[in-house]
Parts: sequence; structure tokens; C-alpha cells
Amino acid sequence: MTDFKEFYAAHYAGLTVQVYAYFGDQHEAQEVVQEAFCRALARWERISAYDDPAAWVRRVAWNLATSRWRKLRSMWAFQSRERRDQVVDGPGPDRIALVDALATLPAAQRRAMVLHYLADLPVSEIADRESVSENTVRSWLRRGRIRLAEHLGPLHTEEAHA
Amino acid sequence: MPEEYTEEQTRAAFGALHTDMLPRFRPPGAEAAISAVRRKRRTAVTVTSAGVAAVLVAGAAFVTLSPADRAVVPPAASGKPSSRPAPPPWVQTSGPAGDLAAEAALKLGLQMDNKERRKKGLPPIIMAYAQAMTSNTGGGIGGGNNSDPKAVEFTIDVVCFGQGTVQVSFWTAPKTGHAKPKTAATSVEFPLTCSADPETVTKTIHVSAPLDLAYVNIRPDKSAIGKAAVAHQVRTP
Repeated sequence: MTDFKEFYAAHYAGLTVQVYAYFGDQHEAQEVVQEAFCRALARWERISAYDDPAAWVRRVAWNLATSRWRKLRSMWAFQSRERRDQVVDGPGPDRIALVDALATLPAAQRRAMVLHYLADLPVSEIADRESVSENTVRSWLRRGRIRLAEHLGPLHTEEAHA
Repeated sequence: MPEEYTEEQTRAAFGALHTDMLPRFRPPGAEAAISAVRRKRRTAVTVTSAGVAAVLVAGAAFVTLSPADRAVVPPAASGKPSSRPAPPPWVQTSGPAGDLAAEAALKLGLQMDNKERRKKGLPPIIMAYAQAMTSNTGGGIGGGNNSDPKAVEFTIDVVCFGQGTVQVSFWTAPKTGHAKPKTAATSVEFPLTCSADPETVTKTIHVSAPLDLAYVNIRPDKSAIGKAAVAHQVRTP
């Protein structure tokens, strides 16, 4: 059986980055992911026997994030929320711009972008999770890439240096 | 055509975010998670209400699948005989009795791999879901897409794992008319008893008009809240 502490140390940060990209809030992301790992620990004997325990934790974290997001959305507008992570040692402006760009997408499209480009989930798995067709997911991803271009500035072509 | 980032540029942007943010999220330490779980377990043991005690007793009985149930579980890709596949994404394992949702899904053999079903000549699964029964369950209505204009019937397979009783409503209606079940032929309501070794209940209703959707509403009785989980799938017969 995989040791829980090793599993936790190996997967916590990566999963929190994904949920952070979805929420745009470091504290919310850490709370959600910590809760998911607590639930995994409570069932560790069974979870550790799964083919991919990390996938189980990721699903629980995303279910929690989606559920919590619905509550947050009704409390305030995402754009006007005071950011607790914009402090001196916070993420750089480019990273904030990316998260801000994602924030302008509908929740399902934002999830698709994060799950595909951060969690490396294939389109088929995202389609299953969101109960939509694969073409819908590809459309979401394309709209997300357009939104990134709108918010992150014009595309730059790197010139090869001799 | 609007300008868009390429796959490469998008992955690079996300990769930079990952690199930048990863060091900022140091895990609080597994000890924090272990302490939190121990606190929850101590609280559960010291509560003396009969309802919570029943959950603990029932939970112990649900940990091990019966040999018949194990046959439903597909073989693990790794070939390890002791490993089990994780529940599919549409199984809601969060919240109280979340474990029961996973067990209910396994009992039903819940699956939505319509490509595999088509290969075997089976009709597609329109809707599949498994969730624990909470005090909030029953307020929503699930609607399954029906892309087959020739479908004349829908069938639901449903099972309840745990304790208590749930009320199941199953009907067809247009997308805009989900709150208005029509005739006895296009709707059915029935109580479903939950148990540690439940039988799957199957009901079939008539599709009133081409491309009508299937709707399912499951409402737990007080006896089932926090102590039961329901798995269901809707298909054409």
C-alpha cells in the first residue's frame, strides 16, 4: 500500500495549482485540496488500492471546487473581488493575467482549460466528466485560447538567433 | 478569424503558471490531514444519536463487496488482482455517505462508455449518476439528452445502497416542460427501499414525442438522509 504521506507530498502542490487556476484564489484552492486529501485519508486503505489514487483525489477536489464555486458566484462578482494573493510575494503579473483571463470564461470552459492544459486530461475524459460531447470540449478549448490571446496580448514570434 | 493561442503557446502559458505557483503551495503537512481525520472520527464515536450509530454500523458492512458485486467491477488495467478502478467522474463521492455512492455505482455496474456499448450492439446510456442522499437531495431534476428521434421508450435502472427509502420519479417531457409530467404511460413514481444488498429496479416509460428528454428526480425520506446512496442510469431498452 502506498504511504499516504508520500502520496500527499507528491500530489498536493500540483493539484492546488490546478484548483487555484480555476478559483483565482490561493486560500480557497488550498482549503478545497486539503479537504479532498482528508477524505482520501479517511478511506486510504481502499483508495490506495485503486489504479490511480491521485485521480480519485482530483475528482473529489474538483467536485468540491465546483460546488463551492457555485456558492461563491452568488456572493460576489469574480472581477471585483479583492484579491488576497496580490501581495509583494504573490504570483507575477503574467500569471495573474492568465488567471484573470480564465476568470472571464464560463465555469465549465474554465474547468476544461485547466483540466486539459494543467492536469493533462484528454478531451475524452473531460467530455465524460462534464457530460458533453468531445466536440463541445474542443470548442471550449478553442474559445479559451482565443480569450488568452485577447487578454495576454498579441502573439510574439520568437526569432531564432544564430 | 479571431486570433488565438496555439496549443504550444497555451501549454507554455500554463506551464509557466505551474512553475511559478508550485513552490507557493507547500503542503501543510500530512499531520494536519491526519489530525483532522482523527478529530472527525472521535466526534463520530462520541455522538450517541441512534442515527449516527446506524451509519457507522452500516458503513462497516459496506466496505467489502460481495463476490457477486465483485463480478461487476471491470478488471484493473494494471493487472493487479487486488486493485479496483476508481469510481467514474459522475459518481459524487463527496459528503456524508459518499462511500455508499461508490458502492451503489459498482452494484449497478454504472458505466457510460457508449462507444463500447455500440460495439456490442447495445443501446446508449443517456444519463448516469450516483450520489449520496443528503437533506438537499431531491430539489433538482436531472434531464438526460436523447439524440435518437426513433427512441420510443426509456428505461431506468436504479439501486439504493444503505438504509431507508427514497421516492423515485421518472418521466419524459420536452426540454422546456420538465416540470410537467404527462400521462401514466410517460411517467412513473415508485418508492425504492435501500439495503446493504439491494436489488436493481428497472422501469420503462413511453417517449411522448421525438427527442423528448428523460427526467429523474430522487427524494430521500428522512430515514435515508445521510444513510443511503442512489445510482441510476437511463437508457433506451
